[in-house]
Amino acid sequence: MIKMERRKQDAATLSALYKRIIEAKALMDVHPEASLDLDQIADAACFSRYHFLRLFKKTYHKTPHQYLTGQRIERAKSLMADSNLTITDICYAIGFESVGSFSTLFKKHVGCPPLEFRERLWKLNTLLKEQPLAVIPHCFAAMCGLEESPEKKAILDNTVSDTTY
Amino acid sequence: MITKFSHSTLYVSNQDKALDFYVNKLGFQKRMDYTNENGFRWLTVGSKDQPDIDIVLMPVMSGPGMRFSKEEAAQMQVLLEKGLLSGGVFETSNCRAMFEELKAKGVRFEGEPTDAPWGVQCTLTDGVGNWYSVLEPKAQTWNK
Repeated sequence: MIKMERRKQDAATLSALYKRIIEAKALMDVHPEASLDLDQIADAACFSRYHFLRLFKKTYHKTPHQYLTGQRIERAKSLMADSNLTITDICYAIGFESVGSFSTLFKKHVGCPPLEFRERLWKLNTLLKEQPLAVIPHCFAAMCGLEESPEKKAILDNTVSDTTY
Repeated sequence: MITKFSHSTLYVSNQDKALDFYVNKLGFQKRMDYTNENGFRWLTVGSKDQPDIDIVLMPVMSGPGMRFSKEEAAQMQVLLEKGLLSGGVFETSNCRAMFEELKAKGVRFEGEPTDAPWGVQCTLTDGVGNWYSVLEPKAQTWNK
């Protein structure tokens, strides 16, 4: 009985602890563009900065700074997809102070520079609108009644006739 | 030669609700969103840590040229409304923290996280027909 009570208390303590860390994480999720330092984020969780840093890293396997940077890059990608803002405007909108630093960091996280990422996105979206069958896997298109375009049918017909066994 | 798995199909009872769950609650990215003239919506999402795997949020549709007949679509809809289909397994760095965070966002769980020899686990539902196991894996000698 005492063991069960103790387990309940431990679970409640852990739950309360995680709720505080989540408060701080939510701050970074909702406002990644805000100029937040570790003290401000730790304050949101009502922890000292070092205690918060240790707990956050143990919970999410990355430091708050690494997490915040990741959130900023994701926000940048969304803005590139959904807005006509320039790369420079996006850089400042997500809290970076230098386009050069932003571009370097973006490339490190995403694998290509911001402009190239945006161009690839726009090409894909244009292709999806104008030639959806070039993007949607054929089996899905076929089972959902999407008609084949004359171009796709021609490609498929040529592929079948060229197949050798 | 098959080189990798690229798309996972998930039938959902409602694509808008599914999109809200996977993007706004789980933090996934919306990858593609296109609606054809016949009403078919090609909607895919994915984890930012797995850029080469798309989850297709598939509606249940029947009609000319479609895979499901009217009866089959109705049967599928019943299974989804009862939440009987499994979407698979998610992995998390901390199951209990994830539980607190998603519970606060309104995600439905079946019970609370429990300890197992292989890690900490729990079960959640996406609200559109699918349940998932969520695992915080303990490092095993074979997967270190």
